[in-house]
Amino acid sequence: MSKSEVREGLAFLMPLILVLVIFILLGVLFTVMDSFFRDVTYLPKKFIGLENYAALFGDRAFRQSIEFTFLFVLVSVPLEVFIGLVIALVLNESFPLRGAVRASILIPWAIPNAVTGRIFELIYNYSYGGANYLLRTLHISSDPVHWLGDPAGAFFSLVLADAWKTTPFAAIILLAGLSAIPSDLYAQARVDRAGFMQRLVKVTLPLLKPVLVVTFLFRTIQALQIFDIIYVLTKGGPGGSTMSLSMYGYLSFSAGDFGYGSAISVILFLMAFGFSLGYLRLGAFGKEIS
Amino acid sequence: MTEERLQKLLLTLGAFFTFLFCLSPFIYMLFTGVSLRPDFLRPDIPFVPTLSHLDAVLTSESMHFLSFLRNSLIVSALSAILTVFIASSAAYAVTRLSFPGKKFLMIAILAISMFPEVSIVNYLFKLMSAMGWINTYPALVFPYVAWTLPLSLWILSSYFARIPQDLDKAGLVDGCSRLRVLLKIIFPVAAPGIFSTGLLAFILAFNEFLFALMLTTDYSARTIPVGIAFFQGMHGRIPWGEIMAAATITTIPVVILTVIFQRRIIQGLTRGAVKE
Amino acid sequence: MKLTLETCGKRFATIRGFVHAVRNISLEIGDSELFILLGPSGCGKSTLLNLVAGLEGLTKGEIRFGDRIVDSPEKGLFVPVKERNVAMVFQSYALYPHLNVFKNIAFPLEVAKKKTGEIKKAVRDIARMLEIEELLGGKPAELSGGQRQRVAIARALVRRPEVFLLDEPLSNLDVQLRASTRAELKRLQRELKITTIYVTHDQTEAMTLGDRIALLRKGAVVQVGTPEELYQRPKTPFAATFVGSPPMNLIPAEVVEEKGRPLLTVDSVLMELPERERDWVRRLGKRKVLLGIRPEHIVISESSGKRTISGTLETVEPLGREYLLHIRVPWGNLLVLSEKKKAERGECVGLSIDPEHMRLYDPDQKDD
Repeated sequence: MSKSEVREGLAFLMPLILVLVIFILLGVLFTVMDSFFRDVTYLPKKFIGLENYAALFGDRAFRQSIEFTFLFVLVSVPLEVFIGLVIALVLNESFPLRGAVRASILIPWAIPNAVTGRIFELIYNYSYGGANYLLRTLHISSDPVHWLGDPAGAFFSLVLADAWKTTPFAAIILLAGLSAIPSDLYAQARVDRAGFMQRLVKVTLPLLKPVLVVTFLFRTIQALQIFDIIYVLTKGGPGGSTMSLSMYGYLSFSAGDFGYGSAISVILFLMAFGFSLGYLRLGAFGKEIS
Repeated sequence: MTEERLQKLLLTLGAFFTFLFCLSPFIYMLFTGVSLRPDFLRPDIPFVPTLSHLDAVLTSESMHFLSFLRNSLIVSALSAILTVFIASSAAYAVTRLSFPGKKFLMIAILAISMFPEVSIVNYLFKLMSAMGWINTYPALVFPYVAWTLPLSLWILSSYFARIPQDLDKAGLVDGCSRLRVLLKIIFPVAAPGIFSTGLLAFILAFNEFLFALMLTTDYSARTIPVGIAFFQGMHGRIPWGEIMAAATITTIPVVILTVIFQRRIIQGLTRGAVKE
Repeated sequence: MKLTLETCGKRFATIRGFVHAVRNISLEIGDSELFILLGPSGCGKSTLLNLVAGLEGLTKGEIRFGDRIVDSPEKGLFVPVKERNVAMVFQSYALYPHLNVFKNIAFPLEVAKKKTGEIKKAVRDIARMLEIEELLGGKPAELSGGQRQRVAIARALVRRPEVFLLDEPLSNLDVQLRASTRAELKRLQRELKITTIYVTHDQTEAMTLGDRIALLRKGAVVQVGTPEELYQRPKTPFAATFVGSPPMNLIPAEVVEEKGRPLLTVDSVLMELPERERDWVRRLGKRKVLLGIRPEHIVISESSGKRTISGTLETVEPLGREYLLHIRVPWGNLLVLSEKKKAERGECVGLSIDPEHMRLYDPDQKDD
């Protein structure tokens, strides 16, 4: 009888719904609410409407963080998806030691972000880090570089570190998409005398489109929230030039200004939401609903 | 050069560079952890292997490294187990039972999974403070469970959907309740998928940073990522040797797990993202 | 255990509105009867089986096991699956892949918390009956299709259910295996005297196995009866063509009056009506009817007489014991079963039909 089935269904779902509501949904609602308050430690809490948001408007640091976050997403996501695609294409072919290469791409993903941050902190060390060592030994430049010393350098360093960490994720998903393409299509294309690039453009990419969209979407959402690596590597410096929105929000929280930080979080959330909608409209989104 | 050979060359180069790219920072970390001096890459400094950093990390009280490790392992394990159970139960309902609003629910859960961590951390901090849980395991376990549930649900639903419903029916006819069907039939049959999901949840919890940063204050509950981030050492000189030794101890287990179970992990990740 | 289904209906809500899988079905299944639900795919037979099992619930109507009501939406009663004491064998066998054969069979008894000694004995007994004793240690994946099926049957029967339900159990077997398994199932059912409902789309299975058959189409019962009744006296054109292989021929004919008697013309050939149909034809009042005649009841004569239809022999299918001839006639094709070949391809033949075996149908008849 469907009535008891509905009750059963709810019983099985209840734990999940409870956890998600209590720890996430309420959290978001609370944060949105809090953004309309002056919520600062040691000061009485009071409703101030859109004042926090107005303050954000005039806040230069905030504008900087938006610029940085946007720029970061715009640069790193396509870069990572592109490299991920190349890696996926490589792994899609069979060659000796393929298993070893495939295992190797999981390693960056498996290492905690914070650890990655410190490793790259060492790599970017001016006096004896690995990056400058490479520059020297590969004769690219004889002078060591202050990787984290100026805004441009810091930006690039972050992109590289983040790319190292997250490109594998993109590669894995794209690889799955690639292996779902039936090999008959390639055989047919070969018979039709299509060269490698043509096969790539005419067969692979169109069929990969839904997976590409998903990969872009996931990566964008993750990139928007970037926090861990920045905290460890640059802490938002030099001069606030690599301050991501998450970082700025966190700084507000740790300074005790919860209302302000909430407003920043809401803006970030809206950005993520906006991007998601944009992507969903763009492409077919795979959903597993039975 | 013919196209075939060019392709082969590109392939080999690509594979080689991928391998190098992925592994070099990791290897660098390993070497630094056992090198007497962190600046061994300079031409005038020799590489002298030593175990002193490892020893310092494992035995030094003030570093609290073992506490961090213990906390991370316990929190991650608890989170993984809890997530798997809750998500399995929900996945069973989603794939087998019909109830109104299922599509809406799935979309809602998907939307929830996209909320940035920073938008919740304020609330969690206040909540955990109110519960008196700051700097205890529950402060991290519950948020981690909530955090990994959507992905776990997707992955487990994908695995469960592949189990023919005739098995459920057979179980019901043989006298089982729905719960019993889940525990005695679906769980054993889906064991590989459940394991993959648990592994993923474990790794995600283990690596998490922001919540751990804000919801814990000292080594009694702090996790490794935070511990390693804060490793500054004294006298203004960063103890790279010790940091990397600590990083090595931290990452070696996870890396080993990942390499052994790479098939399962990749399967799990892709099921969560790609429509089959 | 007698089974009664009274005005049962089941509808599902889908995006496109309601789907009536079962419409207004009433059936009485006798104690120890092997009752077949026969019909094409989508006719509702599997849904009906699920309703009897309790895997689905009725939208309207009533189901009774003996005197006990197990499902009645109007009275607000529903006995869940596990309390109905039914057993089911699925088309896919649905064996638990993680348990060995012994544990598979023992499963329902363990759920019922029987004692270990009892379980052991019951499993061994049923394994012996089904000749699978040597398989008890293995796992389902190691078994052949036929062996898995026996295990599925063993699991179903081990707790001596009151009702035994089978959903197309032979569909996944090799053709040769099917015939022998069919006979075994029948023997087993007789021996155990369990009321059995068997779902199939294969009319041969239905005819050879069943004590009685209910022919279903689009959620409703077309005809209920013994195999002979269904074969010799099908009530609708659908029943006529579904039961029996090769299927009955349906010939468009017209009723004419000659000297006060109704006669049939087929392609301008006059023929007699069977006596039993004369009243029906008169009451029908229509001119056009469908003449049903089974392939084995058409006789090929070399001579073209007054009452023979002319046709051209198109194809001869040797079936071993007899020949299936495809005869092209002005309005289509006729199938004729004949022991001898009688003619060559392309030759003209004359066909005569014995009125005794004719069945007449209203061409506009609906099956409900």
